[in-house]
Amino acid sequence: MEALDQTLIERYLANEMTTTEKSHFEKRLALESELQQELEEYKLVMEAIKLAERHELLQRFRDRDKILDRKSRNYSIRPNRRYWVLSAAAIVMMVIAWRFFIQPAHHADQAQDFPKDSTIIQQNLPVQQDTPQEDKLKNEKKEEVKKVTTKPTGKELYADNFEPYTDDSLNPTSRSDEDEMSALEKFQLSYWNRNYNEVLVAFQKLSPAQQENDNLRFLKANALMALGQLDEAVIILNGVSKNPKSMYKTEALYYMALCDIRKGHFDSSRKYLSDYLKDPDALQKAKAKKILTNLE
Amino acid sequence: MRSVVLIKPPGYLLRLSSMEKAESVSESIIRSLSEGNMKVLDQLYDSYRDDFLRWAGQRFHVKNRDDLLDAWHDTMIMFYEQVRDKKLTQLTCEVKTYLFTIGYRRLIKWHKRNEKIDLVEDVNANNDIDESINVLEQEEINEQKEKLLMTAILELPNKTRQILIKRFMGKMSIPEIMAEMEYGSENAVSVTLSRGLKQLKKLIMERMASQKEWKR
Repeated sequence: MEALDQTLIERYLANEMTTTEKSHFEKRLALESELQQELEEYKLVMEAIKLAERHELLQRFRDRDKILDRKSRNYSIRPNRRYWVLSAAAIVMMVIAWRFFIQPAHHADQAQDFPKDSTIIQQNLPVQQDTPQEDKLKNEKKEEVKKVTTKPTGKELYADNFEPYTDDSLNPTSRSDEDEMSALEKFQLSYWNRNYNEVLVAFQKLSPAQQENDNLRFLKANALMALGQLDEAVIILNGVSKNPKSMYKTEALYYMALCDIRKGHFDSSRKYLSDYLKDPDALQKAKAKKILTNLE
Repeated sequence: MRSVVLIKPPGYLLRLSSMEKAESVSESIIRSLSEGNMKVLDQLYDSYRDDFLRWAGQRFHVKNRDDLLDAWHDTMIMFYEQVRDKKLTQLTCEVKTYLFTIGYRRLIKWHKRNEKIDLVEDVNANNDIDESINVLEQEEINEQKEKLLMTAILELPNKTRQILIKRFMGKMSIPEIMAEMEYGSENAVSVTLSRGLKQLKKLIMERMASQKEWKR
């Protein structure tokens, strides 16, 4: 094909021909099959150019999407995260409601659970004088009652004093959506939400290195205690208490003492608590002192 | 004809003469775009993207946001090509309505092909749309051919590809290309253009021939 023909085809495709030129070129096209074939091939070239432009536009729009998404992410919390924060707030509200309204504090004296009569009884009840023998019997009974009330069982002491360890650093509310969560984040979230069965499941999904981490093992031990699996908890706590690098080595002593109290091993629990109280880092000293007093 | 303010006029519109200011914003947008002002396209894209995603999301139960984004990308490409090819020179509706209708039709088409989405309500999909858009929608190059053409053109040097796009899609003249791409002479542009065209044609023909060979 002549160079002139290619120029003509270029101008024809670029729509730059005058009406006369176009009419002349189209007449030639009708007569010359070679020129016709050439034009068909150039039409494919035009399609390719069109596709290339679309490809560039698409890339341009994708770049804009990135900019727009980044902007909107800066301005608003993602819906999933918002949902997550609201859920956390709802859980906190439910816990507060449960503590203050549904489960009122239990008093040793049941009479305190009932409202007092509004009518003041001024009638003097007949006073019966006790004989010395009756006095003695009464005093013995009082002593027995005193003994019972001041010496709670290991079960009761455990129930009164065990609360799974928690502090603000364990709060996972500012972290990612559940779908995007790592195994570790799921573990921490379950612990924070007191879903102790889920804590144990999540622990199994942690990496071997994480499962060896005594800080995480300490939390697992607490979950086990909450589920009543004390034997396993004690083994873990023992290891944690002996690891000088663990941030929970001191607190592990307190929880070991509680486990032993629950099992009725008061001597060993006293020892753990004494060691615990000697440590300046102990966080639950008041509780530990009270337990020790109860054990004596 | 309705005169509708569609989006906040960009800076370039505020600098227009009083006569030009009298034109509707939509006409100004179309004119600027047809002159190759890609910033207008960006602004349209940014202004209506999120509205479209919300709007389409309410009408189509599309779980994947990327599907809606794809529809919006196609919509903007179709709109741009219509304006560029001078098939769309004025609107009888708002630009936003026009764009959303193209997007809606794109989603309907996608729905028919995949039957993955449920329509919540019907919309007049022919709302003030120039019939030439139908021609564009029918211009479906089969996937295999598209792949072949794309592979061929991506083999060209980037600069050659840009010249071809500017000349045949952007309808730019040789002197305009020379100025924009900082060529030393018009002749240099013409030579690159001719060589690029020949090279691309050769690449396409070679690929088509080998494909035919392979099919045998």
